[in-house]
Amino acid sequence: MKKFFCGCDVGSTYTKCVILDDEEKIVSNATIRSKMDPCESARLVLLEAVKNADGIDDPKDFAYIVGTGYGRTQVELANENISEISCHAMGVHTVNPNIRTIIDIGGQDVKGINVGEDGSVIDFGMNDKCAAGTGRFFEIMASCFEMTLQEFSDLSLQAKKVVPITSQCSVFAETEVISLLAQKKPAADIAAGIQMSVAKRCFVMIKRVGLEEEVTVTGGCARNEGLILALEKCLKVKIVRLDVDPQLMGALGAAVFAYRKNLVKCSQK
Amino acid sequence: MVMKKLKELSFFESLLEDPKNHLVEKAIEQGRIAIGYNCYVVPEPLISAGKVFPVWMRAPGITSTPQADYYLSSVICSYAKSILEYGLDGEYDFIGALIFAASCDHIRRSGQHFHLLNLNDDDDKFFTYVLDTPHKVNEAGIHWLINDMKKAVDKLNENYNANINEDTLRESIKELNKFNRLMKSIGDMRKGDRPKITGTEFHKVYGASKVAPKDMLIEPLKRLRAELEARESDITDETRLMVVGPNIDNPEFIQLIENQNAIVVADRFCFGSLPGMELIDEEGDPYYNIVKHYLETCQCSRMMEKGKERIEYCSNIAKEYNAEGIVFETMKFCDLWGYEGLTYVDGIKAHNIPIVRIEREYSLTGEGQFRTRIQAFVESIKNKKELSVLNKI
Repeated sequence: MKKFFCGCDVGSTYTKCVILDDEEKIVSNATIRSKMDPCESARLVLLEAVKNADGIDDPKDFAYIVGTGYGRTQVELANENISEISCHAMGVHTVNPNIRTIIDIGGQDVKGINVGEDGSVIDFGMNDKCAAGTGRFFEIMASCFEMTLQEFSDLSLQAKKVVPITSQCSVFAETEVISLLAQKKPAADIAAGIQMSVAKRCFVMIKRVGLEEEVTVTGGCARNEGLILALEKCLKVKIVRLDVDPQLMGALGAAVFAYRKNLVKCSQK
Repeated sequence: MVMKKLKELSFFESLLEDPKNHLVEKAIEQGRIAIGYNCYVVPEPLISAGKVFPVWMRAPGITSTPQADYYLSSVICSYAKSILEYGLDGEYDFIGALIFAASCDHIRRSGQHFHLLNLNDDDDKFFTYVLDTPHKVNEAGIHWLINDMKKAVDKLNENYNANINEDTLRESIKELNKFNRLMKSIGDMRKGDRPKITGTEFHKVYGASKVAPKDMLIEPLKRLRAELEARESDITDETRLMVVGPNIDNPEFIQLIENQNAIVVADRFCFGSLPGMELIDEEGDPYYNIVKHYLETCQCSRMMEKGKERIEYCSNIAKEYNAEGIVFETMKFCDLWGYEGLTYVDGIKAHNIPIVRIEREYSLTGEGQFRTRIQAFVESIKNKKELSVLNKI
């Protein structure tokens, strides 16, 4: 009978799930907006992922489940939980083993992770004290322009120059952006300024951890092409775009750990 | 990790609940004078002699510092603010004096406000005193501090008839040595492959020893040691860690680390035990012996010219206690340890000891983030072991 392994990443904004088969291949994934209750988020995303997978109908039938993300301890069916830092490193390593530095921009924090040749975490840094530079920050900024995140990203790509944003705080940055819009500064230039201000915050953290090529970005904000270009300019490196949805890297890493933990468990029997 | 609950531990836990715990109350009823302090280089034997006894300044359970925020600058560390907040709330009305050292400006500002705001001045006897502790260890510095310490002693004798003299200081040194021999015999139980005491339990016991008269703790400590000697350890594959940094007086921090499949086997922080359990010379001039001991054993970043020694010290302790990694914790705005981190982290890495640097507040806020960092650090150590197992499958 075929075995399946699951990684469930309960993030502050989105909850993601990846299912692997016993050949360590991705057979299904799902992403939902996180609910107020992390348990419920995990339950729903598992059901959604199972619905799309052939060979498994019930989340209770997984051979091994690993929970990760801020709600990792709330995944009721999980065999164990592993930090999102280790899971992002393992997820990225699985997709591209040449990556040595990960910039993970999630809903409520930003992480810089150095990855070893075997997918292990060499070093890491986190900005988790405020919303500046996180996915939540971009949601607030996009709302100033009455746009979706995708529209905001596209807008910033049309900029002719970058209008600097001086405020680091999300609340004050919002006030500053509203003032700039009132001054009739081009919206695209302001949007590019916002992308650059976040990139510069990442610069400080990544430099502390140590920038080693190759570099990639994970988390929901990795889809923000305007931010990726700002990071490339700021860090003076080419950011590697991953072949698998970068928002799934935590869940994928957790699923890989689930697969491996099961191997260890079976070998000990 | 779930170790069977120690019967004798609840006594020590109860002492950490409030600054004025039941042993402090008992000692005050006996006519003894509580002296507040908060630095390693305020020598415990000095404020344990005659009628006085030391109480380490803590703010257990504090969540915010609105009053202290008004008096102290926004870049003062949350420990200094928390102490002042408790002072303003009247939690330290029972102390007869506050003696602190010229170690960090934040603590000085906090302590000075006890004086400026007349926080404990009902009977005109309360006073604050800053020991002018040198930042280097040499004979001139030792004699400088002896003279300064004698001024503090004169003030205690004058205000409280405290009976501190060379004879009572000798007795005080002997009693502290007796206590430290006992405490070290418990501390040494953390070294083995299967420690009989967790880091959280140890810090509850060690922490309690800083907030109550030592003589009242010797018998409970003996009972605890007997219980520990008979205890079976449940420690198996937990990652062994050492914690280094400034003041931690809340065992919940250690508990949070140990909840991530780890065990804290050694420590170097201001409320910790290494250094702290060494014996003081009992022969000769007690003032000289006390000052020499505390200046020489001090492993705080306040001591200049000892940066490399501190790295060597921690590296050796990590080896002695078989620590697999070091958690280097600094408090936000802590100048001394923030600066220390610049050289310390690289110095420890050069010894091939994994290290993670974590900035925190005095109270246990941001628990989720703290847990994630520790868990990721423990995993980075554990995964190396696990990968080697997988490669063999």
